[in-house]
Amino acid sequence: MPVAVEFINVTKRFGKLTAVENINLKVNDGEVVALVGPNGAGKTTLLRMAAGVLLPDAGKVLIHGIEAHRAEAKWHVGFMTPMDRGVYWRISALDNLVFFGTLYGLSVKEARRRGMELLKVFGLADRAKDWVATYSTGMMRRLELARAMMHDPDILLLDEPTSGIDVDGKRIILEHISRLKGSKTIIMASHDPQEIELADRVVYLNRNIIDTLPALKIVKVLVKGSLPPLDGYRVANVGDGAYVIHVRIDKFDELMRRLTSMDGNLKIVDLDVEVAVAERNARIEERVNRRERGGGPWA
Amino acid sequence: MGIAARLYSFVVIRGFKVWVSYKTQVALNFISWTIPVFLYYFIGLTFGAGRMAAAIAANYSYTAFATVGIAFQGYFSSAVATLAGRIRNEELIGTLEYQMAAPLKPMSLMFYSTVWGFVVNSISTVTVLLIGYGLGIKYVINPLSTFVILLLYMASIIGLNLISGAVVLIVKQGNPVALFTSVATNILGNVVFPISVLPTWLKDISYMLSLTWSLDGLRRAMLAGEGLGSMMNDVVILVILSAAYLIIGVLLTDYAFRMILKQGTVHMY
Repeated sequence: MPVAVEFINVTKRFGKLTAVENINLKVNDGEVVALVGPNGAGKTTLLRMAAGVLLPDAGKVLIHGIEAHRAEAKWHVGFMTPMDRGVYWRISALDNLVFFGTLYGLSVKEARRRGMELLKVFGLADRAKDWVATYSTGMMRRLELARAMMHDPDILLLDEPTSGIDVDGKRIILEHISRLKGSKTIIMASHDPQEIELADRVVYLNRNIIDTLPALKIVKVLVKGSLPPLDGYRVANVGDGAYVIHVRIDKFDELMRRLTSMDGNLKIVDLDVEVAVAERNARIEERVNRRERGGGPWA
Repeated sequence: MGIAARLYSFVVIRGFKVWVSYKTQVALNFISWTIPVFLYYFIGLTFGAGRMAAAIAANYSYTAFATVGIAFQGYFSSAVATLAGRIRNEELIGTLEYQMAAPLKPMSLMFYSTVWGFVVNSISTVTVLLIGYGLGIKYVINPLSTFVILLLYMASIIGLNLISGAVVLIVKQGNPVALFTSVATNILGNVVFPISVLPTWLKDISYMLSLTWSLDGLRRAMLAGEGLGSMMNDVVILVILSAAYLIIGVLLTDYAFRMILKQGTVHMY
C-alpha cells in the first residue's frame, strides 16, 4: 500500500517545551487515522507539520515522499484547524472559496463552480452570497471544511472538525467524512468519539506515540430495569436501577440481540462510544506524568 | 500558473470587496486624500507664490510642487503601511496560515499581497492629480521619463513592502518600517517642501529615500516635461536604491518566513 503521509523521527520543540518527540508514523493512501490524546499532546503540531506550515526541529515529514513544506507537497493537502477564524468575514462564503481556490491554481470560473458544488454538499448553497459574518459557528466550520476541499486534495488534515457545533452541523460533516473514506487519506485530531469512530486506526499520542492500534471501540449501553446476569460482559451498577454495559463494538450486535430477547422489564436508555485504547492509555500516561513531576498521587 | 486568477482574488475579492464593505472608511479615505492638497494650496497662497517658488527653485508653482509630492507619496507611505497592516490582519483573523498552506512561494504571497496597496494608492494618486488640475496646475508630461521614474519608484516600493512585511512577520506588532515610511517621510521625503531647507544631517537621511529622488524626477517629468537625459542623476540613484531595497527585502522575507515556520508563529498574533 503506498504511503501518503510519513513522519520520520520527528521532533518539535517550542522553546523549552517539547511538543512531539521522535514520532514515526506512516499513513497509507486512503486510510483514516485518528490522532487521540490529551490537550497539549502534540496532535495539532503534527497536523501543522504535515500541512507544511510548521517545520520540524528534527526528522522529516513527507507527503507522498516530498517534504511537507514544499509547494509540490501542498497541492496534495487540504487543511482545517479548529479556530473560529481563517475565513474573511466581510465577504461572502462563495468569495472565500473562490479566493482560496485560486491560490491552488483554479481559475476564477472553476473556483466558482467548485465552490458552489461544495456549498451544496455542506448545506450552505442558499447562503452562498451572504457575508460569513452572518454565519453560525457550525456553518463556519462547514465552510472551513469546504475550503480545505476546494482543490480536491487527496489528503485531508482535520483538527477537531466538529468541535463546538450543533448536532445537525456535526451530522453533515461526519456523513461527508464517512463518504470520503477509502477515496481520501484523512488524519483527524480528535477528542470526539463519533469522529474517532470513523477511523481505521487510532494513534494515541502524548508527545510521542503511545499506541497505534486498529480502532478498538467500546460501546457503553445504559439500560434500566431488571437485568439478569450477563456472562462475558462488564456490567456496572450505576444506581437507581440503571446499569452500564461495556461491550466491544464487534460484539455489540450480539449484545443487542440478547437484550432485546429479554422480557419487557428492561429498557435501553442510551448508547455511547468510546475509544478504549485512548482512555486506557490516557490514564496510564497521566499517572506517569504526575510521577515524573513528583506531584500528585498515583491514581 | 493562475496568475490572473490570483490577482483577481487578491485585488478584487480580498482588496476591493473588503475595502468597500467599510463604507465610512472609503469616504474617509477620499477625504484624507483630498484635504492635504487644499491645505498646501492655501499655504502657498498665504506665503505668496514668489517666495515659495524661490524656495523650490523651479519653474512651477508651489501648488504643483506639493500636489505631485502628495500624489505620489502615498505609494511610499500608505502602500507600505497597507501591506504591513494587511499581513498583521491576516495573522489576526487566521487566514495567513491557510495562505501559507497553499502551494505559493513566500515571495509570490508577498507580491500578491502588495498589489492591492498599489491599486488603492493609484486611485489616490489620480484623485490628487485631478484636484491639482482643477486648482490650475498645468501638467507638461514627458511620458517616457515619467514612465521610467515611476517604474523605478515602484521597484523600490516593492522592496520596501517586502522589508515592511517581513518585519511584521517577525515582530508581529509595532512595525518601525511602516511607521518611518508613513510619518517621517512627510518631513524627509521632498513631499511638501524641498529638502534644501533641511539641516545637513537630515538631508543625508533624505538622500537614502527613493521617495526623494522619485518626486524630484516625477516633478521634472510631469511639470517641466524634461527628458531622461537631463535627469540621469535621479535615474542612477533610483536604480541603486531600488536594487538595495529589493535585495534587502528578498533576503529579509526569506528569513522571516523561515523563522515563523520554524517557530510555529504563523497562526499567532
